[in-house]
Amino acid sequence: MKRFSIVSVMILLITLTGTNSGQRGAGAAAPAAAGSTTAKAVDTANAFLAMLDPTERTKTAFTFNSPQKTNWSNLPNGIYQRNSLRLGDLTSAKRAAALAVVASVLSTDGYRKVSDIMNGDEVLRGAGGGQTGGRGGRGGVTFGSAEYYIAILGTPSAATPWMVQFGGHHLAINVTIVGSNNVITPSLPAAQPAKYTLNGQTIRPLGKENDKGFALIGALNADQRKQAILNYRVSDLVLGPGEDGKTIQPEGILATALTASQQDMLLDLAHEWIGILNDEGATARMAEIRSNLPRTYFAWSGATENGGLAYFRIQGPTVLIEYAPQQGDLDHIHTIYRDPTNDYGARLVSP
Amino acid sequence: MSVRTRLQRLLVCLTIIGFGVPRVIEAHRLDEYLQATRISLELDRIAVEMNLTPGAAVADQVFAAIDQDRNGAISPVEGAAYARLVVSSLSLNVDGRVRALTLDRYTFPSLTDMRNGEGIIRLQASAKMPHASAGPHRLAFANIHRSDIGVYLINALIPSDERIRITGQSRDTLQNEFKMDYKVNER
Repeated sequence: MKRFSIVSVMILLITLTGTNSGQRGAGAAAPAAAGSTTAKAVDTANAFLAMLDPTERTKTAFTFNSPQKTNWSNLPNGIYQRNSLRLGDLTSAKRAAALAVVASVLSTDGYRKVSDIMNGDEVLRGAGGGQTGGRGGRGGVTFGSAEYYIAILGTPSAATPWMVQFGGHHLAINVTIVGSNNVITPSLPAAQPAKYTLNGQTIRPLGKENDKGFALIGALNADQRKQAILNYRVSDLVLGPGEDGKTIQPEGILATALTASQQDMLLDLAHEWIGILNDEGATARMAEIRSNLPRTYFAWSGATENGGLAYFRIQGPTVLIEYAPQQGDLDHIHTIYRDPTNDYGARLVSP
Repeated sequence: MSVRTRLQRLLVCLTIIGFGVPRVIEAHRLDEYLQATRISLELDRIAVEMNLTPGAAVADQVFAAIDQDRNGAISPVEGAAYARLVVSSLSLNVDGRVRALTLDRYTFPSLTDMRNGEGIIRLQASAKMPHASAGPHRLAFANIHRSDIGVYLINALIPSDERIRITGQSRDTLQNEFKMDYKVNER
């Protein structure tokens, strides 16, 4: 029974408690009925809000266009002020209800990734990160699964725009829901440690992103690599937190220069980010990305053998994904997923 | 309590127990001074936006270069002087002609945030130019500010003016130097 890991139990429980079914690969999900995700998310959010006392509710509920919408970061508590409701300030029942809201807008795989990132921060806390305050006890920085925050912007509704915002250190989830449509941009899944052990099982929160990226660069021939590989070092995200509304000039190899099988690998890699979102939303976003492949680029900087240090970027009309190890540390990864046309549901709100 | 709630409560309990802890881990940028530059191209103006993030291990030396009177705070005069120093480390050249960058605005983080390796100095500068003629052009940009500890990102933003089309980019390995070819189309 020891081998029946805690993660497996968590996944089973999440499934039992009503999270969206996960989508494996780049497109083969069983489509949910249009709007079923929204209906479930509305019910879950309303149930959560109904549990809160007035003070908690004030910290949770914002207007849809509140400045809170852009108040997210990869930074830990103590350096960055999120102004929403902290999980560590809630009873276990309310905390579970908050997490149920998060789960209601994500896929099973997506929620597992979120849990893995939070558990990684728990590892960071256990390793003394929270006690040292970052560096030399100067900062008052706190880590751990209690240090994540939830906000709901707008009124949960099957018709009008609203948003679930959840995040903390190395995590920002911004799901905007407009009717039966929804997006998860911008979002920031990151990891430190990038690999840890939980009840005897090795967890790599962003392991698939890493492995699929290296698999794709490994699948390119010499001429393709020449186009894809940038001749300079990229030491961080270019469009990380605080860089909303910007679009950089794309670089790398155009997807049209890839074979069909390589294009599938590219889509499968992108799906590691898009598939954090519930199946209904992810299917729509993946269709957009697929239709824009002729204008989508894949760029790479660094080692091409898995285990080396590398940055990569996928950029198309409706997608920007960056994967950036920090300061040469393979155990500290930042990533971001944006849609230049649809961050915070911009295109859904004003089509 | 519903079955669902009980299961979710159990999930939370399971989530917070039993981690294998590998080692002490630092969470923040340490001994590098990240300098990220984004360049916006207009027909008669080039805007440069910079985010400068000193790592925790070099924050004190960067701060010392700003806090000239050593009183532990950045005065408006000190902030302006440092921002001008950064801009003086930049060079911009369009079609072989040097274009002077003027400091437009800047903000500084707290010393505490800088010491945590997460304080970002933000500054914006710009250069006015004669209205670009139709045809090909080349921009060259370089940043040598604190090259002893600096790591660099330089990127061009897609021009908002559809008459301007970027046709090529190149950089040196460390991204100190950036060259961009672009074409201005007739209206």
